[in-house]
Amino acid sequence: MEDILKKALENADVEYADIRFEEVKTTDVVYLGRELDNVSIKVRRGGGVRAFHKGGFGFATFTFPEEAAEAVIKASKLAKLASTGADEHFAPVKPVVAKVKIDVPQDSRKVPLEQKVDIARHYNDILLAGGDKIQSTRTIYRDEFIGHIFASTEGSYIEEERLHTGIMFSATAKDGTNVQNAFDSFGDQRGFDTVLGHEAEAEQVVKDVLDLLKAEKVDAGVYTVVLDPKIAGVFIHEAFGHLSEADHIYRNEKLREIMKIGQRFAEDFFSAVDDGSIKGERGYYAYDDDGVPSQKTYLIKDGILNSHLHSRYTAYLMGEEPTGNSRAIYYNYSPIVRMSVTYIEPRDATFEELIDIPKGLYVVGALGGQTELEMFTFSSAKAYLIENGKITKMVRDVILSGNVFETLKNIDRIGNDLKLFGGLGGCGKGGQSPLPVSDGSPHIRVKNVVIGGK
Amino acid sequence: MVEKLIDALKRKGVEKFEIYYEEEEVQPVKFDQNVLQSLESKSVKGVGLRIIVDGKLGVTSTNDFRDPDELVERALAIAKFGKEVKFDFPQKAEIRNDLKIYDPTGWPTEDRIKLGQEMIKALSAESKEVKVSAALDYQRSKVRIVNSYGFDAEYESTAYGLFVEGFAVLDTGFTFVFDWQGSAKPLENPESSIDKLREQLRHASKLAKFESGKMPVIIAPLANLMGLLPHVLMSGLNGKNVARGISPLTGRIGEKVIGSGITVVDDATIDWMVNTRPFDAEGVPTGRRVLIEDGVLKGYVLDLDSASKLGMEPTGNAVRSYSTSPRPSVNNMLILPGERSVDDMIKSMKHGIIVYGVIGGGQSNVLAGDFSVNVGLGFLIEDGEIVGRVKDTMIAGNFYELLKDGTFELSKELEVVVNFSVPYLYINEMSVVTKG
Repeated sequence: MEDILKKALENADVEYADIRFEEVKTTDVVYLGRELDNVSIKVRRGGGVRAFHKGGFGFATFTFPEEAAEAVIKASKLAKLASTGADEHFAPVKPVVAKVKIDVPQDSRKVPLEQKVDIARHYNDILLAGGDKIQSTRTIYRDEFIGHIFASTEGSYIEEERLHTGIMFSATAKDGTNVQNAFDSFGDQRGFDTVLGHEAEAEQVVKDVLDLLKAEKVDAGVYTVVLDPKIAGVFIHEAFGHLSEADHIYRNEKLREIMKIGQRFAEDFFSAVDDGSIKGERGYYAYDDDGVPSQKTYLIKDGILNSHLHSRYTAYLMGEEPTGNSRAIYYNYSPIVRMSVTYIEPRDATFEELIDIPKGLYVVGALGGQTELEMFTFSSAKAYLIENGKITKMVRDVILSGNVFETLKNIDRIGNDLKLFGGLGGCGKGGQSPLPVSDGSPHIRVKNVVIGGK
Repeated sequence: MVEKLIDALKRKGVEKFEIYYEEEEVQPVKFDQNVLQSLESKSVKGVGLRIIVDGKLGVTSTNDFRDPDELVERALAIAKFGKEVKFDFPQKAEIRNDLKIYDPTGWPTEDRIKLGQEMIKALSAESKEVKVSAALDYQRSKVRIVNSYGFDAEYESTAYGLFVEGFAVLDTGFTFVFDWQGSAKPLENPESSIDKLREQLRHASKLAKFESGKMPVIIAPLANLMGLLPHVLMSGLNGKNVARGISPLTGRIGEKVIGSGITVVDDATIDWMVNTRPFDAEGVPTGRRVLIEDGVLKGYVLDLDSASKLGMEPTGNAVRSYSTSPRPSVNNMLILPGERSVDDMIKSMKHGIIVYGVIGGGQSNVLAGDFSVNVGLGFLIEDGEIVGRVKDTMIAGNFYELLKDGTFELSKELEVVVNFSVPYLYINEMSVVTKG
């Protein structure tokens, strides 16, 4: 394979070209209610050639290795056509030759299909045991192996294996026209063991969904909120992480001004990190799709903007260093700047200290989040009122929304209990979704958050 | 490939099978923030195989056609643990061939580059802060379905698509404006996107302050398609949700489920619309079906599986790619227009907002009809005039509760966005929260 790809790259009469070739095998088991809804195994393989020439990118896909040479010629032609003749390049890096193998206690590929069906049924049964009000359930087991090869005209040749394994279980409860949903998920690159031992969490899902049926809708308004690690992780990913991605910034003078290194964004005690080098996490990878090693990058350090997230191309354009954040979801997409494992650094506050306020909301879990850079919206799985330092009654439909710059400044305490989350989903950008990422945080407290509601 | 696979299935004695073969070729032209960024050439050929053995389904797919036997063996292995099904693959049927879905005229790369550059020029003239990103696509696809009952049919289709987005850091805040066009034939008026974006940019340059409260709200079609009413109706009508009993529309055919005036149609027969096709992803003939008529529920969106569970006929609504399992979804979804003009809606509004874009759609309890979104792009209307942009503002509610008889109106103007046709929605009164 190495010879074929390297030989194919000799056809590149452009400034730079690379080939990614992947074999992808995905196993899915889905239970819906009492029924096994889907068992499938999907296999695909193929490659993508990216060529770069004076500011222009060309991209061409192929299926079999022997078609790589033709794709290199096509991509090179397209790159020249797209070229504006601009004096733009890739930031220089050392070529890498490496092999990264899977190293997990229990390789999901070797687990019999029957056992995967069993584990999904096991959690699904716990949900179904929740009683008459449980209208339906959905439990998904998934593993995905990606054998990934990267070769570039600069002499990089990287073989990297990735294996994601995860489980998601959700329960829907219904009482008249009131329909509620609760879920939990676990997914990372630690092998089959990741999906074992979550009985307590499945039982918690049942309890949550039944409680949500009885919970009242939150009153709309402006609140002080304590965010749990999951939704605080979604916040840092959605609200600030995306803004750190240099491809949003590099061609926009005003945004460059706003996102200038050295600007203050938060109080001294606030630091946020993107680190794709944490082995085993869902957002882990050894090398990005520019062939740059993943690494720890402080986005905000002690309240001050410290770095942007870069590909080699955006790093060159902004005169900064590549950060190993150039990623494509699969071989048939070209890489763009993406996050990896993004989190808020822990500090010293205990949970009791955080909720020690007269009135507020304790917001737990996340159903989703979306951002338009400055403004964000995300929805929580459940929430509780905080009254005089105590967690009191559950409320539902808590949707938080706000302006990221104001919200960061409004973070006033940070907990000591950092947790990272992966799951089965991921991040969507530029039509590439879901890209595996992790995010996390300790519990944090934020003032002045707008909550939509009744 | 398909023939070799049929041979392999026969060799292994598989009696019930379905082969879904798909070919797709697309050449996107992409602009990124006022600069031509990339030209791409992507092609996919793949096959999805489903077999039924002893009432159990084996599902697998590949794009590697060299070893059909391996694919069949894998399907057989999966079928041992597979989903139990009550349905059978459809019999050979009369397939219409008069639908207009294929126009290989093409869209020369040079023309697309020129169009992109024109859009950048026109919008930059409106605001020098605006950065225009765009994707201009031309796609050719072919689908062939063969099953063990002698069903063997294929169709070829084309798709011309334009997505354009303007992003500007204005004094009123970060501003996104965008438009989206799609058709099976060359776009008739791609330049119309420029006018739309230009107008939105113009209104966005001034900020308007107001107080939270109940007020009338107009939701523009594109905003509604960002996870609001069409999304709520699609989830409710989706056969899978109905069969699971989690849709609020379960068991309510013939009942009034939403306000009079709402008529929803699924139509796979409209010439040149993006999802028009003679048969669905399981080989069931498609057609035009009224799903909600004047607020009364008439039918669901079904594939073979959900139809068999509900004891109903499949509706030609299975969608899939070669590598995903079929699921029910709308073909082309039409919310039929009302009587009033948008102009009149705006002019008659004393104090309210018009919403062109939202952030966070589809994240609430969509099945229940809930939404709670930030107004990404919206304007305050005072005494019938747009006075400025609203910021830090959320709208929230439940569509089934908000849209009762006499509480809303639909515009006579429609916007066709890819496979949706949607009017402007005027809601007489709803909750709007703002930091002010």
